[in-house]
Amino acid sequence: MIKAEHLSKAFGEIKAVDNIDIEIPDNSIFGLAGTNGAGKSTFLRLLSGVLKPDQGSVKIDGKPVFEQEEIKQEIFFLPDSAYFIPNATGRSMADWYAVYYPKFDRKRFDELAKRLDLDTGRKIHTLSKGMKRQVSMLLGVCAGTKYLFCDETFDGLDPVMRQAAKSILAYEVTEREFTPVIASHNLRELEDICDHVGLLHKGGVLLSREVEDMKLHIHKIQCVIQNPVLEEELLRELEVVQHEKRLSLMTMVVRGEKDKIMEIVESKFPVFAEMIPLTLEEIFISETEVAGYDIKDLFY
Amino acid sequence: MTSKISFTKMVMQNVKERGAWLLVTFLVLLMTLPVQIMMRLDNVAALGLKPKEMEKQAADVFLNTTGFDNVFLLFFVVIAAFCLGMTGYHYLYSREKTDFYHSLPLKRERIFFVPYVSGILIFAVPYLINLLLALLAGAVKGTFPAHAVSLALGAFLTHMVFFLVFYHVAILAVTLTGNLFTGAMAYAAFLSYGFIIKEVFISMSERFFQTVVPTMLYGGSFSFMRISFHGGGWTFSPLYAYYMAALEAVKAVRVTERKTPWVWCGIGAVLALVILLLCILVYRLRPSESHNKAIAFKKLEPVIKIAVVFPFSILFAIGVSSGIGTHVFIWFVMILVFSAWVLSTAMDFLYRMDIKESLRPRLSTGVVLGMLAVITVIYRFDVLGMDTYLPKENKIEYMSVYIEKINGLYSYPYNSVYYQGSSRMKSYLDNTKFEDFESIYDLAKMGVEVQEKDGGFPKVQDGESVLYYCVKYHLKSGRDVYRYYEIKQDEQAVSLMGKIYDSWEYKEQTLPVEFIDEDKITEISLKDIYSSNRQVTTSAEMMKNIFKTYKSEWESLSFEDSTKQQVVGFLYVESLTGETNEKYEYGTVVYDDTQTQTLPLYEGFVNTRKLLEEAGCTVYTAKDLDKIEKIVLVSADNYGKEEEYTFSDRKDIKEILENSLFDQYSNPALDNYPDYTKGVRIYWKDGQGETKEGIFLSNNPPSCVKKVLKTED
Repeated sequence: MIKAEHLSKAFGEIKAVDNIDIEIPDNSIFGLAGTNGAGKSTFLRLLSGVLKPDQGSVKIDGKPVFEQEEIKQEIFFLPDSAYFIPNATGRSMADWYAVYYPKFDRKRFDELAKRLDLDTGRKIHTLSKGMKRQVSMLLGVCAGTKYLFCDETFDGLDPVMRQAAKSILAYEVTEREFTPVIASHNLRELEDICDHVGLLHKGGVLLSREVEDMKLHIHKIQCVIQNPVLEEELLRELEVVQHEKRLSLMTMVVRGEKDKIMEIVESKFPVFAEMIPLTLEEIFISETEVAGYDIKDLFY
Repeated sequence: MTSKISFTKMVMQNVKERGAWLLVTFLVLLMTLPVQIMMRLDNVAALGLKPKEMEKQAADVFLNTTGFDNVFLLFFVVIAAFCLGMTGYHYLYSREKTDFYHSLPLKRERIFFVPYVSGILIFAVPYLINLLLALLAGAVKGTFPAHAVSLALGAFLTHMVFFLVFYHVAILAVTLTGNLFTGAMAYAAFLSYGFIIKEVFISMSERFFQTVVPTMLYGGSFSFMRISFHGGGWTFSPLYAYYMAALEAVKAVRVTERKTPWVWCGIGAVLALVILLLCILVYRLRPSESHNKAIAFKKLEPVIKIAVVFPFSILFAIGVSSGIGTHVFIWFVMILVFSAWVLSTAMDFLYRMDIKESLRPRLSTGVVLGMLAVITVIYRFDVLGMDTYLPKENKIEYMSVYIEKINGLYSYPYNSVYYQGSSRMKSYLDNTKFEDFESIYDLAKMGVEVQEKDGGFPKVQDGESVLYYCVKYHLKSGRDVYRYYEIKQDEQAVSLMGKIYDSWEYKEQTLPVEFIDEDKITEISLKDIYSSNRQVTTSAEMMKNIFKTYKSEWESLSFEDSTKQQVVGFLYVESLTGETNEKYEYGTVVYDDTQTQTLPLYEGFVNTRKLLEEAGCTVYTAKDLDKIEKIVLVSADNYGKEEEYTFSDRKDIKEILENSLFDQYSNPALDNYPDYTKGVRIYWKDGQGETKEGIFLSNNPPSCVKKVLKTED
């Protein structure tokens, strides 16, 4: 298990990671979501032992990571822009890593490369961005480590390859002790693969929960209530995160249990009321807006 | 834990990654060792020497190239150390690469040692291979002297020790910085900072003091001698240790006598170890996020800023204020403040890459301005009393004095060895010592009085002369202090000069005749007004006799007589200095086993002149004017245009001869010197004389000359 306690890291006057407390359970795929500059990469670099924390601690399987060879042998870090040895091929990189990771599975590497139709004899610098990502992900998966930290790993992969990569990770999780932590700003990427998601915002953790659990506690409702007084009452009685009214159709993002929410809505005699699925991205946007993050500045 | 075998694999992998550098190192060393040896051996073979001489020269060339005299190798060691240090650790300058290496399951020390060991292998293995190829090339060409292997291995060891020193310095430079520019600057700074700091104090002394004269002792600003090796001991640069090691190794003139400089190798090894420990410490502490920053450690930024701004703003202010031809103090201060501010801002910009931020006032800028103010006050107002320094007599062990009007006339054998790199003045002061120094001390005291009373400049009227001299105080504490003085040449000064000159201790160490071994004289020739070079063709015994007589007459000549008697000619005495008459050539330095001394022949040296006459070399003087047909005066104007004036009248000829001087000499302490724009050609009635060059009118021409030149008062 990965446990960060009061973890902080600053670069000059910028607090990249600010007093993070988080637990990442074993044998799950953990998605680390966050806006640009939220501290995802810094957090992963702290987890990998690349950076030394200014305050707090990171422990993996109960042991600190920084400068600990034994525990670092169980960690493989895939940064957002991976570095390869000059003139290396996929195969020579596998040889290279095999020196540092004794459990590196060459056979599995060749097998997966073949499945992804990846030419491991080709110089990496001649590969496309997506193909480079595939190579680095295969290297990470085959290193045989217990933990794999991926920073924006699916960025640049085409949808087919993205699905293939996800299935490889899912397979590894089921087959052995394996905990990938995937950082991404794209929640759609994480939604259908991650069991757990942590939301980082301005260096801190906004929330960290199981995806299913999150979906149970936040909902999106569309309804039409003709009486404005009842409509006002509804907004007061529900724990509304976000709401919007277009003509007579009101759309709300609400915290709480599904049945209780619907009971309150029904009590206001709606002409129309429907609970619709909330995407992880919408949950993220809602949570960040609550935290005072002006999302419009980011997108528009 | 990672096994030992895997460390070897890691190193081999790293060597493979840096294959291009391995190739470059191999090729450069191939050119530097075996190829150079073959080229030079073929060159010797093409000289067409006698077999024995050729064998000797080939052996010398071979031993020089594989041994300590290979200058290319010296340079390559410093450059390769920098390149391999930089390429081994340049990943620290990139976030991607730092993440890549620092995420590996290794402790920092182990990550450090992988490129470290591979860098050493990339240099050492090609060096050893090429050394073996060089030895093989010599053997194939038929040259393999007895000392070849031991000398080559000694050189290998020495170069490797100093490679490690420079390699560690380069690594330290990389680990302390965050980008290539500051990394390269840091390497240059580590190698030169000692010189720069020394140059600051030397330049300040020169700028503000009258009697502390580094230029006269060590040459001009940043001259080889001054910045490096003869400027006052240890200079805090690894280059110094390397240079000293190489110098120690080539000290023996004969190549076969050269030895490994064990002491300097030991110093180098200790230096290498200390810097290595420092590198490991810095690497451990270095934050991974330091890439792209100027300095890896934020706390070091103000320290480094002060360390850079302080010396460079002083050197800039001195350079500019003297360069524009003014020494007005206020200009110096203004340029100093301006350069300190500009450099501080530039350093802050380098740290932050933000002009607005770099213009903000900072404590470090205040500290450096304060330091500059303190040092300026110390030098400007001579707070430490440097110019008025005069140690108590009882604290002095011995003294030396270089008086320009005496010592400037002679040359000394220790001035002829170029590479020792001391000025004439300093080498004379360092090679002489006078334990009976009362008169020298009094002369120094006169110089100090000028500093105390006259503001450093002697008060002289028109027609009065200035006496220039440099004094060395060797204190009982072992310290040497050099001071240069200028005083009015009054009676008291001349009297002290006379006392100094007339002491046997002074003559014994000053007269050039004392440096000639009478048993090793090979040739004597004469220059006088009749001929510029007549060889005395006589027996070795007779030459020895002439020399002994001359020596005795000069040693007996008093200071007063030496200023009054006319110099009627010169003896050129060539003698052997070594055991054999052989020539050795090492690079640009030529050692000649013979020396030729030019000795003045005074009018009163009658015994010498008599012996010369017996040997067929009569010395002609102004008294022989009956034998002269005419004198032609060649006068050149400022544009080099020459005009000739002929004098046939006996009275005119006598006047001209009495006021003529040879080109290279005038009597001690006198102010008559040759006027090089007025040459004197003497035409002899016998038609044999060859005195067309080398005789000039003195600066005080006779009336007959003034008349024709229309310069009469």
